[in-house]
Amino acid sequence: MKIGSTLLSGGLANLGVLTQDSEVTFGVNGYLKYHLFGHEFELTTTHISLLIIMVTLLIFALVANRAIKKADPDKVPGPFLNMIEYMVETIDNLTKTNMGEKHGYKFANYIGTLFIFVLFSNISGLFGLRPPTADYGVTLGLAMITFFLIHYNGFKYQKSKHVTNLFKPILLSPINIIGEIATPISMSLRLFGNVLSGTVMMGLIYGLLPKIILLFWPGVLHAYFDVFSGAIQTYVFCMLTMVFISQQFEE
Amino acid sequence: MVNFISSMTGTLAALEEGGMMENRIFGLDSQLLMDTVILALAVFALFALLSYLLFNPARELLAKRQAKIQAEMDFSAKEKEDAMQFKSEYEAKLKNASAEVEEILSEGKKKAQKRENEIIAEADAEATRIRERASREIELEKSKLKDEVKQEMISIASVMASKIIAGNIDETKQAALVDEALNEMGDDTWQN
Repeated sequence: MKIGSTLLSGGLANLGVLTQDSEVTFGVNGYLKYHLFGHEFELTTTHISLLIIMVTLLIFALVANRAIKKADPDKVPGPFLNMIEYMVETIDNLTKTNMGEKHGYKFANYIGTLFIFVLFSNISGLFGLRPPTADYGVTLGLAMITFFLIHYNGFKYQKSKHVTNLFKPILLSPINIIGEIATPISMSLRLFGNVLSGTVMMGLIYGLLPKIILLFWPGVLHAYFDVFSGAIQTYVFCMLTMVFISQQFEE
Repeated sequence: MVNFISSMTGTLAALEEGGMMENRIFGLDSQLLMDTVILALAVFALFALLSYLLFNPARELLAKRQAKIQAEMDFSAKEKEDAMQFKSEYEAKLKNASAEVEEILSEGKKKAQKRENEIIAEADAEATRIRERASREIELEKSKLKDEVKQEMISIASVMASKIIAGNIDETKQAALVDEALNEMGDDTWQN
């Protein structure tokens, strides 16, 4: 495992030279050590960003909840309520069109949570946080949830066929099995790679360019890496999750 | 350099050196598993909270509003139907009313015609009566006039007769005539 990590990091050695010379930071730092199950873990930048994003979302949810509770269905809704309703309806429609009328509504809440969380995580670079999705631990976790949902629904709707289908053309069974395992890995690496590349580039630019250029030039890059790329990757991740899960509904 | 690479790889290096991880980008180690578990818990918590606070109430509100709008639409559709029914009813009534008016008018005309005829007939009758009376009166006048003329002629004749007689008759003869006339009259009166 260490060799693997070393190999993966080897390509970053050149960047490392830069990081030593100047104040380029785009990696995850540890802040607090703790022991659990005989291992030593650290509380990292990712966790702090995660906490900030979750608290923000929670505050938003609380304010929205307040607005909804106060709202009178007989009256015309205000702009904030309209926004919430539009958001919820859009998510509902998205899940319904991608997962079907029959099963879609069950997943609307999860897909909505996923969408909002990943979107906020991706654009949190705008607010000076290190995007949590630029940490493989986060994207792997999200992909593993998708993986779990895929196979839970596979067994739920297709019973034993879910396993036997893997060996359907017996010659292709290794490919089928690899394909199943590759799903979470490819999903997690796609999101991770995209967000990390943006984070690394922004880190390099902030660390290396003269201060005067930093007054305007990073704005354009933030718009691309954080907002545009972040939104696209959020959409792609949610879309893939929905498509992979809805494939299991078919008989 | 090895140290640097180790520091890049994160936890393993940190464990060996005893320091905090610094500038870690990617590592396949226990920290990754821990991060994954933490994230799964975080997403689950977020899912539960957002569902409870945001998605479900918003959906409920939408459903409520939808139900209300549906009810209002149903109500207005029913009202419209009722109104249409009323309208057709009133239209039929209006048509009937115009027919009735026609009937009343024609009846009135008929009555008026009848009345007119009656009046004319009455007037005719009256006129005839007046004419008759007039002619009767004329007749009466005529006969009266004839009587008068007769009387006149009689008186004139008697005057002329007396004048003639006065010239030819003497006293005795006259007395005899008177006597005779008186006798005739007296006999008739008593006998009757």
